[in-house]
Amino acid sequence: MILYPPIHFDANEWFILVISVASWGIFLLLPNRLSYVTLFIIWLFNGLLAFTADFSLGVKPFDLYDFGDRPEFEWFDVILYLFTYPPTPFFMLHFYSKWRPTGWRFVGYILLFSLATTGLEGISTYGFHVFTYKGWKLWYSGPIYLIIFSLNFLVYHFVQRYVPERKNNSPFKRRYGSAVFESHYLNGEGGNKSLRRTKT
Amino acid sequence: MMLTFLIAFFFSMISIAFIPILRKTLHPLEILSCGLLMASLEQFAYAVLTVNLQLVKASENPFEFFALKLEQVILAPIIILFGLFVLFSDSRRPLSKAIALAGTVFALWGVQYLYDLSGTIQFVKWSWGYDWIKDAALLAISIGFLALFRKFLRWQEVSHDPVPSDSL
Repeated sequence: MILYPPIHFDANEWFILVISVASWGIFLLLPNRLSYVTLFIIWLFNGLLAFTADFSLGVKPFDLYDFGDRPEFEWFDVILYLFTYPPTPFFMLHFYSKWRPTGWRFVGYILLFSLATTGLEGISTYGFHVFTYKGWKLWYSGPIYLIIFSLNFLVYHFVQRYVPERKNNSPFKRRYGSAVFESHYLNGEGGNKSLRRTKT
Repeated sequence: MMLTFLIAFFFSMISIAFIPILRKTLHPLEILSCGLLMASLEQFAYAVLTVNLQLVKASENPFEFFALKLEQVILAPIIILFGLFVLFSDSRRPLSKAIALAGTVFALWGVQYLYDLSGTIQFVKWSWGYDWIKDAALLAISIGFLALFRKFLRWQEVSHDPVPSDSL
């Protein structure tokens, strides 16, 4: 079979579904700060990271953990990669673009998210058996999340070179339309300098 | 065993060094997103073929495993991106585009063949014909994705590449 269904539809499947729906729901309720292009690329990037990590560490020759009910890949693993993992970096980048932490605050910000994500992984592993460790330790995940979130920042800043933040999601633009937005913000009547610089 | 990894690493670094050339035809965000998608699909296809369907058997040596990972994450996506580079180029003729696409599938197949020769992978119930079809399917997906993503970037009014293509 290409992808297996779960053996029993129990705690781990419910955990994946509830966390995915809840985190996407909360994220969609937040005001839009990231462009659709940024969100799409961050989503793809985290999908790749999940595929790479789990298809490297979770298979032979390492085989450090299993996910789901069996050692083979299941439908719920794909849901985990595409819908459960990505909201965490979305939240991280959303609040980063809002608060703009720098220096030690930035380091603390990444550490906080890494700790929170490690905690969530601990709950999913020991409370709901989403993962079964076979040599992996929970504390190994902390530095891995630190690297993952740092890479997310690199990708975010790379994308922002081409996609100005809030360009398509400004309340002004939504209310008055694109033409008015551009004449107001890009032709010198107001708005921030970064948008004008990008246009020229 | 170590040699397979070193050769894969060498060719991966060379292929990364050629990425800037792609910007003559493709937007950096197109290169990034298409590369991410292809690397994910390559790994997913490999995982399904080896773990779930057991049609291909992979070496359990860690160095050979990492050599295979380099192919899935770096080499194959960049080969596909070079195929797209020619296909989406305005200055090429249809015949040269067709040859480039066939060349891309042939290059992907060639890399697999070298891994088979080195003993890194072994086909159990898989054949070279199936491998051609898999590579062609990945290329077709990448073409469809890039066409849609280009429309998406236009819709989102994403700025042009600030690096002029003739400076590369």
